[in-house]
Amino acid sequence: MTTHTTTPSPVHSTTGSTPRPVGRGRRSLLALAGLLACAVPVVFTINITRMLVTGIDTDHRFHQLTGQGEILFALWLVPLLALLRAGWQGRRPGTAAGWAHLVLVAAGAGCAVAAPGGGAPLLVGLIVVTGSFVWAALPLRPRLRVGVQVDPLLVPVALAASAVLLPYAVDQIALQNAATTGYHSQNPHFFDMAWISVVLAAYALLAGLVPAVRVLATGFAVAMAWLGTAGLALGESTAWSLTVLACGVLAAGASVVGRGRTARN
Amino acid sequence: MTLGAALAAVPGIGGGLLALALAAANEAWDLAVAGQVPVDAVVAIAYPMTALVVLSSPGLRRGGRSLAWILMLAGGCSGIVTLSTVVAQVATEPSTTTDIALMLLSSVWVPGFLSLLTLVPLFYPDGLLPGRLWRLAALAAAVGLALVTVGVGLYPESFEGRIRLTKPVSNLGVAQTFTYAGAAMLLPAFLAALGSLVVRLVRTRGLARRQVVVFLAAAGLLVAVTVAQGSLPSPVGIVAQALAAALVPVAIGVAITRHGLYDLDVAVRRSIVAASLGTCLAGGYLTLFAVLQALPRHESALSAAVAAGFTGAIMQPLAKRLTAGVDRMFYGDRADPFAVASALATSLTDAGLDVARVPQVLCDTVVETLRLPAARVWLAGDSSDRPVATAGAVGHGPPVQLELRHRGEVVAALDVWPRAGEQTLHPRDEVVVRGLADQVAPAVAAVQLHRQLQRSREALVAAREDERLQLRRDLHDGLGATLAGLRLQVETAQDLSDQPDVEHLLGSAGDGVAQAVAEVRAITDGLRPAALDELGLARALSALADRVRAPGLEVEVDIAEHVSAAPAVEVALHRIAAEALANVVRHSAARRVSLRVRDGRHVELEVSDDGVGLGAATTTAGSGLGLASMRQRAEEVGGTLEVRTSDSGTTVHALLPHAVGDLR
Repeated sequence: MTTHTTTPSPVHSTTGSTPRPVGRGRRSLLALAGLLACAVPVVFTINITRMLVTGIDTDHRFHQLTGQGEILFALWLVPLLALLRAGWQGRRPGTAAGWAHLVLVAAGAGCAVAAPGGGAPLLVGLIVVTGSFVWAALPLRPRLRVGVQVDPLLVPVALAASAVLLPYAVDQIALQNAATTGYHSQNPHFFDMAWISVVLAAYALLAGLVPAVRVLATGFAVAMAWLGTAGLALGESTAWSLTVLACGVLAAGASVVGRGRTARN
Repeated sequence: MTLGAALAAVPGIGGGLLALALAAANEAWDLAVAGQVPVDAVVAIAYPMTALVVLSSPGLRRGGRSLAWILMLAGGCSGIVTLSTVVAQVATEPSTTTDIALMLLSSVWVPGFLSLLTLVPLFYPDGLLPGRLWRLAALAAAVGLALVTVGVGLYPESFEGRIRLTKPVSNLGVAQTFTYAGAAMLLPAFLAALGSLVVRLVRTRGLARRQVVVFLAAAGLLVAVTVAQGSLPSPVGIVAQALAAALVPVAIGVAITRHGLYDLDVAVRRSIVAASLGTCLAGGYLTLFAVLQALPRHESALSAAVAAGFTGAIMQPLAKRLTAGVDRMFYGDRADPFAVASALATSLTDAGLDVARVPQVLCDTVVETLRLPAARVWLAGDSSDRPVATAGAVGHGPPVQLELRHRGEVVAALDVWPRAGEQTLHPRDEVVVRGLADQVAPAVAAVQLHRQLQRSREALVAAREDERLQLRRDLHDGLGATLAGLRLQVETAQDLSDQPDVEHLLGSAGDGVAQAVAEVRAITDGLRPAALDELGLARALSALADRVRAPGLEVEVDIAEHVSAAPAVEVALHRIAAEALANVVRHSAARRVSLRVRDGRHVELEVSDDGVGLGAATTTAGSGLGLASMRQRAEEVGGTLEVRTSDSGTTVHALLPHAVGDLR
């Protein structure tokens, strides 16, 4: 239904981001690229969830719940789906989705270079190739060049979190490189943990520095709360888990305060 | 803030942090009483920090200082208890240190914790007791705290850490005497403290009441979490209690910042910047150091030096940006008038340069960019008692009024409410708001001019329709009746005449008079639809619908029976309905049409059909289908017209006032 005339008749702005009509060919390309990009994480998600539910490899439940499994797949799939959805509708994808996907790929590449065992470079290569297909198929690319504005609550939380997450990532990379035989030499869980740690630290920093991607603070808070709770529940270091949990709670608080300041007005 | 206050915070903050570090270094989290350590540490750190913030206010009164020192006492005691607990936990053999720690941890928790339940509620929020009689409650609380502290300190008991420790000094009889006597004073003091909060809640209104509510909510949550400790699993319960304990000083902080208690905005902002900067630098240093240490062939000293150099280099620019960020949190973009002007320009562009929206854009910009509670605009010379635009939550207090001037004349007034806790606008806010007002004043003048023009147009239309009504009545009842009588006389004379020539002449005269009567009727019908005067508005509209009834077109009519309006509005309603129904018959190929008229605060007319829509209709008709004329008729009387169309039909919706111009 369209409105033909109103009184007073509005004049629509031409500066807003208006959806672009998406042709059948472009949608087919998007669907194909999306299928390729999402196939691996979806299969992995289903498989790891099945393992969690049926109790396979219970020794690795912490990794299944976090880096090897649920957190990694959330960080992997959510930006992809956001990009694909916007592309399908002919809209320009959000800056947050664009940066989130790039951060995932860049952090994965960095960690794969630092810890090349267990097939990590192959996995990251797959993500790079399929992800680039998605970007190529998009009718409009996300705006990545946006203004910087320091959030005085989120930035300290981000730097405090990075002081916890990056040393942890370094430790995990060392553990991965040390695992030349046995289960972890074939299944690079330590690489996965390092990967999500770097991604989460980057999420927090981006959210604290760039207003256009402040929504990433929500993802960071949820993931950190999940990671900390899983650590507490599954016997990881209590101090580390509590610190991670506290960072998640503080990030959520900072995010709520920031949003409240905006919404109140 | 004095040096004494800073030193007084050391037992709390220092004790809490040291205890956490000691527990982490000695892996003491799995020991039996370790669960209480995080909660005590949170109290030890959060309360003195809040006290320091309050004490740093230059205009602090005596009452506020008392409350701050009570918070400091609670935090300091908690810091001592936390540190003593960890020392006793990790000790591997008894010593003088463990003896002192044991005596402290068993006794000092009393003033640390029970003062939160007695003295803090009694003195909150302004540091003054609700009345003179309440001094007894405060005295009972102070004496009770002292007695119970000594009593529980002397109670013979042991402590289970890595080893079993026993108190060096104990006496059951003395302990019981002091504890019972102290409890007998503390219990009524606790009830009185609760009563004082209730009294404040009942007596106060507005801002002061909200301050009490905020504190009560936080304290209630702490009590609930403490009661639920037994049913929560171990880490969740501890974390929940620690968070709830931290919420109480946070609530006091909220009362300070959001509700303007103690006028501490400057101190709070500086504290936030300092805490934020400290955390950023520490986090940045540790992050960089860890990354550098991970590099091959690293050297610790070099890594530390590089990390320290980096944090030193970013300190000044980071502090500048954090200060700007905190200022933005409190005052929006007040410090950056260019950003405010830019936001206004962007909003105006988004509004499509529609001048009618300029006052609303101005209000929105003031509220959003400056974090001010509310703003509204009144047009000068507007007889309406409603503002032309409003944004935010209009408060009860008086606004600050600023004039919008164009070419020396006041074209509008901008009301702006100061932030909570402020009596008037800050001079910097006022400068920015005046700048915005000056920028939009020409556009607002155009809005004012447009309104005046619209009012003149409406007045002209109303006068025209009144004149037409009068003219129609004069013609119908005067000239029309006279001509009708004349025609009757001529016809009678024609009947009486027996001369053919005279009869012929009278017949011609009768025809002439009849033609004159028809012309008068045509003129009166053109002045105003005859049906409106003959049938009334409701039946006239119903008659319009009856005229379009035909095989294959179902007509549905729903008209408020006693609908009435001013003559000009009646004509507008009739003409719009006639045009809309004619469009349905000519162009829509509809099988069903409905005409609805509702009478409420305004008169609503709706004509909807299930035809092919305007898209197809304009293709075949090749015209505007009278939409412009319908809209013009609605505007002439101060109403609005909306046309919604799709492939499955069209709806014409007109909203008209009862009297011309009343819709504004």
